[in-house]
Amino acid sequence: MDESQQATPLTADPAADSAYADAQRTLQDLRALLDRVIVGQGELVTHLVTAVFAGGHVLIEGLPGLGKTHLAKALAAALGLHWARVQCTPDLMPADVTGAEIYATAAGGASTFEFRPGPVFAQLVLVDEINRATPRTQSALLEAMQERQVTHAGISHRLPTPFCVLATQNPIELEGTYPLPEAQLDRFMFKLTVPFPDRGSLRALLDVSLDAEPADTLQPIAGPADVLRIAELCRTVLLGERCKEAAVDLIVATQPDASGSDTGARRHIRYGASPRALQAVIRAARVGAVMAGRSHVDIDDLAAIALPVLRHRILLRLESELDGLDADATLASVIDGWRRQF
Amino acid sequence: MTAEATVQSLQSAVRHRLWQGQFVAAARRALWGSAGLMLLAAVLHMAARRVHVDAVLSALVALWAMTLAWAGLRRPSDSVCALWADRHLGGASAFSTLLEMREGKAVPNARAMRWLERWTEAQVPHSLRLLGGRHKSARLSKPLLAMLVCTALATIVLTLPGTAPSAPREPASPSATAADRLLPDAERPASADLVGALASALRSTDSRRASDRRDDSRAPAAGPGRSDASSESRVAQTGTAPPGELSTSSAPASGAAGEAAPTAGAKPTTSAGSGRDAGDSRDERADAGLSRVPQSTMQAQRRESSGRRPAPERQADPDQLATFDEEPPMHRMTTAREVPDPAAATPPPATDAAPLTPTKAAYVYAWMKASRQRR
Repeated sequence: MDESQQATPLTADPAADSAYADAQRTLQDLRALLDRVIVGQGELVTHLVTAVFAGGHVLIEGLPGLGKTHLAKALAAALGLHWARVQCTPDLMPADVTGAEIYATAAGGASTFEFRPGPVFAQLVLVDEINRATPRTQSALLEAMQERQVTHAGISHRLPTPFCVLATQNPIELEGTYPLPEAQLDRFMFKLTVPFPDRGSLRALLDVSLDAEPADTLQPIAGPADVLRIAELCRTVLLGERCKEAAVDLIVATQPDASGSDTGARRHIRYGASPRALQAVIRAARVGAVMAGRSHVDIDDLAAIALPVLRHRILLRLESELDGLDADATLASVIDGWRRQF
Repeated sequence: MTAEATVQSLQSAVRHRLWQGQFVAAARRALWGSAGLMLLAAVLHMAARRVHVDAVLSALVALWAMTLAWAGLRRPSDSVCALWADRHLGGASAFSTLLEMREGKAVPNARAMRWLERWTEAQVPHSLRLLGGRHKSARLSKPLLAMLVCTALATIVLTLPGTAPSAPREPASPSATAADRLLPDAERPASADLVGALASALRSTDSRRASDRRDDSRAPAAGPGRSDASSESRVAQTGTAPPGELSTSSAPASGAAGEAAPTAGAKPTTSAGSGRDAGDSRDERADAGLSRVPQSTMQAQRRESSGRRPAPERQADPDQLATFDEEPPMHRMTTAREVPDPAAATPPPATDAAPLTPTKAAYVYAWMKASRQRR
């Protein structure tokens, strides 16, 4: 290899060198701020921040009263994002989410139909109990999540940037709900579960949120422009061949019929993760690398986000479900076996 | 020092370490191989053929040379060193990614590349510290111990006299006896010849007595002189020995019996009586498959019982399963007359374990002489 190939084109911008350090600092501050508000949910906060900066959407599953709505409000407040909330019910219509045309009279007396945007046109949308909306409403929302635009009366309306949907669902009280189909679940980058906080966290929770809503008093440490800048920076993170191979192997390991699949996957998984999961893994791992102050992805970054990326993208066999296995336990063994290869 | 030089220093240190590890692994393999080679040589020396120490040493030298050459020729590449540093020295995939980006044709993002170089440069001292503090486990004690033990064992086996495989011993089985007949006379032990001569003499005495009885019943013209001459000639001629016996074509029986210096036989061959009864008692050495009753006696009994015998019954022959004799009894009797005399009792196989003492040899000779005189 000659010198021209070995030479690396470098920018002369000295500030460029500190961009990753600045991004790391911002992300660390954001996490620290959210940790103070959302007590005892450090991993959940990290994944949530990762999803926001990776441009993904998050499905949060947890029992009532664990602070899901509070988390969304705190995140929006910390990032200075415009946020909206949609409380899903069976009679919720797609126009209630995406917006509708109304007949309006202008100042000059001319009357026209004009589009009034729905709550989906916020930068951070909290869709509460998404499984209570009808499939028609769900599909309208999920189309907006995927295309990042809403088409109404033949006119496409771009959604604002950054755009992030935080949908919540309740694992109990499933009567009268419409579980999300697999194809729609795949649109979410992460599926996060909210664990019950430990005793110490419960004790700390009293000090934080007994008499006031801490999210209401949060001062933003970054704005939407910062979110976009850091997200753009994350897309420049270098990805070595070894990490690419590892990411591909991770997805292949979840396939029950693939040659490189895990033994547990062959026994328990009916459908494995999709190629979209591979993209989600890489995007999320890049944010994780920036969080760690690196401009390159490590395999540990892949491993850190493998479970929330994959847990809603696999379908277990009926026999395994009857045996009491869940996706987390199955994926834990798959990821463990995959990690030992690298 | 530039970032590239810093990373190169780490790579050199890692390469040195990996190369060293390769040599240690090669030495470990060579030690195990040497132990196996020593064991193999010892086993081969004891079981199959004599193994020279020079051959073992040559094989050892070749084994060590090949193993060390294999380790020396496999120089760890840059990518291997980078990968190892990533895995074990906290590299977090930085070294391998940096190497790929430098060697790759695609132009990486400049900002990310600069940050990666700075990151790796800052990481190198920490990685070097980790490399220095990394425990070097050679794990050579077990293979070294195994090789020492096996070497000591092989040295003992290869150097001690008498550990090499000896000439094939005379087997005691009938098949081996048959194989012995095929041996040339020069390879046959003298003690076996002597015992064979004695056995032939004994058999010839018995068979002579039986034939004399048959001759008496047919033509009583045969005299004792002729009988003695015939007996002596049978003793002398080993070619007349029945099948299954050792042939003694070279050793005269009487002389051998008289001298009887190198004799054979694990047990004393004097199972007959003593004094006057010598030779009259039953020979306990007889083969269980053969009757000890003289053939002439059997025929006489058959002749006497043929008239009063009922219809013949098919008798089961335990030695010949699933077969039975279809011949009528009369035909069997005539056939029995035509059958030559069966062999007398087969003496036990001759071995070198217990030589016949001169006293015993003299006793046997006296017994033979008494037998002749009785006739």
